[in-house]
Amino acid sequence: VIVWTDLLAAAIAGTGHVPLPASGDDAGSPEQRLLDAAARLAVRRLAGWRPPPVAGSPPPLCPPEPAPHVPPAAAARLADLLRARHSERLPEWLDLAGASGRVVPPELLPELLEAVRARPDLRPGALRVGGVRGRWLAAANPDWAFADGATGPQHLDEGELPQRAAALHAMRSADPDAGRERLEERWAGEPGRHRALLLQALRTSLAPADEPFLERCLADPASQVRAVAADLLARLPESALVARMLARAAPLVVVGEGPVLTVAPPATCTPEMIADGVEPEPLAGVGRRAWWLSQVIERVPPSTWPLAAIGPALAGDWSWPLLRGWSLAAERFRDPDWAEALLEAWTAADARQRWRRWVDIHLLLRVLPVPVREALVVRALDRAPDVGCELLGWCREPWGLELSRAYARIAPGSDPGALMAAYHRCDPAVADDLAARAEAEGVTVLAELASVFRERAEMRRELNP
Amino acid sequence: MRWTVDQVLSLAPNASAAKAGRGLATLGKWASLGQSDVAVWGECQGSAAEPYRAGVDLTEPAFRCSCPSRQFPCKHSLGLLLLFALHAEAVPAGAPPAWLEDWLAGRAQRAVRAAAPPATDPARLQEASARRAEQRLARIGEGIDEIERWLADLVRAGFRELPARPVRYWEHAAARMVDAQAPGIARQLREMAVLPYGSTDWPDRMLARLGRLHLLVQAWRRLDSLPPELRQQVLAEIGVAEPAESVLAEGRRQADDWLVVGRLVAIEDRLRVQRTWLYGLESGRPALLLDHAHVSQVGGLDRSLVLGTAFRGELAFYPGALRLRAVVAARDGARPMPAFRGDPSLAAALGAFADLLSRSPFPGPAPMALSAVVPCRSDDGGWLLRDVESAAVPIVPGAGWTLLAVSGGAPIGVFGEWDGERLDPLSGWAGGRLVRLGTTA
Repeated sequence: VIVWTDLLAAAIAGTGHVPLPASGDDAGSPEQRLLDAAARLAVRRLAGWRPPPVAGSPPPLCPPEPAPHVPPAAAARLADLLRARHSERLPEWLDLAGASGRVVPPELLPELLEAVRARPDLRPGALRVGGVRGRWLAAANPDWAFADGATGPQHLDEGELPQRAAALHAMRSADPDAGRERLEERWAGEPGRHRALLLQALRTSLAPADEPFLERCLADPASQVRAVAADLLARLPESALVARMLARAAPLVVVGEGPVLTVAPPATCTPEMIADGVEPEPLAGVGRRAWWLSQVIERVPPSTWPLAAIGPALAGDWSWPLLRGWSLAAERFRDPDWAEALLEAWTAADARQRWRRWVDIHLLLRVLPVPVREALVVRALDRAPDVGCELLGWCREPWGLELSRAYARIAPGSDPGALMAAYHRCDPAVADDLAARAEAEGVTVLAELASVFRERAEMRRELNP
Repeated sequence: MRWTVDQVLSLAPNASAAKAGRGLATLGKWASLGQSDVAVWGECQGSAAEPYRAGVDLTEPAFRCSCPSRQFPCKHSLGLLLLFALHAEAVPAGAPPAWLEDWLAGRAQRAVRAAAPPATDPARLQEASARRAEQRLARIGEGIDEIERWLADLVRAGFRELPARPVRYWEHAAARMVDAQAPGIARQLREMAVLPYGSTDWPDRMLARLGRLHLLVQAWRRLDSLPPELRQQVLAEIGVAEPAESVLAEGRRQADDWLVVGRLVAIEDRLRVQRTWLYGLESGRPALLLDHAHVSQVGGLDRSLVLGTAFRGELAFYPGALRLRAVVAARDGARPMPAFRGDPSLAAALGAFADLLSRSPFPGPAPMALSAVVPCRSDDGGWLLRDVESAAVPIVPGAGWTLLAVSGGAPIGVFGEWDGERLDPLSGWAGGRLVRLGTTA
């Protein structure tokens, strides 16, 4: 009797080259006999297939999912977004779906996890809408290991520097003192560059309890570490460093009746000032005394002076160092009144003064609560659209209705940066306003914008029918 | 029947139609809207002066629209049905307008006619078709002679030669079989042509396929001595298809609640071939519906049966020992699939497959429905479906992660096609929903 493996060997070699093994029935040509036997055995093998034994245990059972699925139309939208590569709408969809408290149906999870593998910025949003099932599934695939959030305390000791820093940030959010103590334990063994980067993690949940350690760091052999420590201490209003700076700043800028501003920049940069973080060498094009003045002021709470000092400062000789210092200080000490007043002054200033860039717009905007920020940008848009658009580019959260309407009132599309921001953040409720203007004025870009907004509005309706 | 968004979108002829349809699925786009028990209709303002009038017969669904689009269903029809799927409560109930009434009535009449056999002169029809059939069998006979010599040449030269053969070695033989009106053999040759570029154990598969093709050739030689059912199966395998009309007139019928559990579209020789698998809820009987359309034809394939739905109806089965292929003879409106039916264990499913083989050694892609399996990884990185008895069947890997996601580690129902080595999963049933697997729509 001929067996399959003999048959296979003969078929590979060819019956014209090797003889077929003998069998009981040797009638017919070798080709005919081979094919006859193959026909018989092929059907027999097909019918007789038995499952191979399986080793191991089946996958663990996924815990129940408490959250409901997104509505079917929203799921269909997500499927489209995932299949269209580089979708611009995906981040927004993830935000909206996450806010709705619903999760995606399980059949979309593999595509979703795969899509955010290359997009670390979207991972938190994807994991939120992935729900319990998403995390369970990701745990089964090493490619999706990001889902278990590689920020546990064990990651502080191993891996690349950025992961270690991220782990320390995470520890600081959970338990600030434990995070700092953990860092202190390892401090001696770390090279200077690592110490500087890891020390920056103390910015998360920075508190007066961190001051003794930071004061010690002011004597660190590495200049980068000293700079980070001085910067952090200058963010603690009660710290000894800020008290020292206050003592230096008080005689430098005096506000009298009127108000009248008397400015006396430091004549020298003392070793004590340098130890507290003041950089002695100025930026190109900046006078030494102006540079030192600005750096002292940026390390003092701006509320040391009245808001009314801004006007005379703008008009005076030392406007750049003063306003730059106050801007940085408003951000450092999270002072919304000063941030708003400085931004107002900036938007109202003439173009030549704005050009001098004494305000870090995006840092100051982030100090303001969202309603205050949006009201400020609305005023700016109505007063001077080009200035308003510059601010708009920095409004990173979704825009409120009032802000969106203010944008629709000006000539949208004239400023490319604001237009890009509008695509993603403008409230889609203004789509009809824009479409009407597009029709009236024959502006194609407005019509396009209106259709993008309609799609975004549709996404919202699908998620909250 | 209330259609789900997924189901409606699956009816779209292409992705852009689906997108356009979704854009029209808002109340603001429609000047008027209405619904009855069997239909939904509306007027949509398009680029023309008159609004387009779209109507959907909800029982199938079937579509009608006054727009000039050649896509079917058009974006208005899709948009209307999507809108209805999303906001049925916002569509006022009423009697269908006159322009829809006639069409609905016509459809109802046709449905009755379709169930009855066609009225033609039977004697003349039989005579003409007998003459044609004779001519065709003669041509097939010539083709079979050629393929038999070709097979012998291949075996004499050995498989070692095959990877170096040019594409035309297979393609020429396949084209010859198409000419000889044996498209079933042409299909087998084209499937075999790609084997040497697949896994390293391809000679094993090649020998099995050659053996079965040889078996078909030998069966043809002995056609007259075969039992009638097997004879018809051999002819079907060669590619001689019974006309659907005679199947409707004479085929054996089976009434059941038919579940639409699988759909696959493959390209064969410039044709898109759609396989739709049904499963009888009461009988546990699988059935296969085939439909063809030329690749250049937009739409073209019958999409009226939607995956994940069920209908009460009667199928007429083609003659042949497998008793798988069928046409729909009569059907009521579709409804969501109420339950999944399948074999409780792999042993039972393999038993059913062996039973199929005992009726015909040419099983084609065979249906396999497993009612409780857990997807898991195999040691070599592939995927398995594991049943309650810890027996496991390997699957085509593409849908592995989706199956695992849908199951959450718990047993689910899976329907797929079994080729004797691997199961190609087409759908998964979990949480009362049927999820489509794989990439073909």
